[in-house]
Amino acid sequence: MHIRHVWALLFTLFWVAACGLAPNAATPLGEPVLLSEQVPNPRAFGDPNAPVKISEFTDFQ
Amino acid sequence: MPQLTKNYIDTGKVYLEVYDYPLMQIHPGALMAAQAANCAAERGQYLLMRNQIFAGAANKEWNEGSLDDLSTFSNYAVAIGLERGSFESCVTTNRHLAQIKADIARAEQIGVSSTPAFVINGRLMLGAQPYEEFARIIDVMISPP
Repeated sequence: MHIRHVWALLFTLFWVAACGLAPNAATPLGEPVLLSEQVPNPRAFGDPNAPVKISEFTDFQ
Repeated sequence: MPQLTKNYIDTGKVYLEVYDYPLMQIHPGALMAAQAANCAAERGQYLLMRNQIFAGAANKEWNEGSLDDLSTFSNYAVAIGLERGSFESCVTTNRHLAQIKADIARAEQIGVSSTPAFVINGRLMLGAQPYEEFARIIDVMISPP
């Protein structure tokens, strides 16, 4: 593999990892990853393996 | 929520996920409130912002999603340690609109038509409930009679 390809691959891997680990993770296109798909979910509380799972739907009013 | 948190969430019995279902026809400020909450969530401050927004609604500090309301939400953000500029940018660019739309779709698929609504291990429960009702249902699910 050409050295340029190696660097490109490393850069891509680093970018993907950085996007996934950042507090406000974003896709490569700049769109935020859905909060509900992040691990841990920042809008969730407790142990995901708890025996009872509650989903709350709110509109704040 | 404090009692539920102490007795069931902190003890590993309950996992609570929150979704947005802004009823924009009757609560025009709900969409901006959801945006504000999600913008705080991405910074790990969802619960604090949620508390601020609910308290603000009770005190009529915000209402219809106006510029004044944006200022109010920004003040909440600053009060919980967020940076005003990036928070306002997050809200005004609809950064989490896709999440809110996904939440609405999820709600409608389940049959949610009003708020608050809860799905407890697949069982839909509409309307605000006292802590005792949550405790009763959860206890039965954990230890069936």
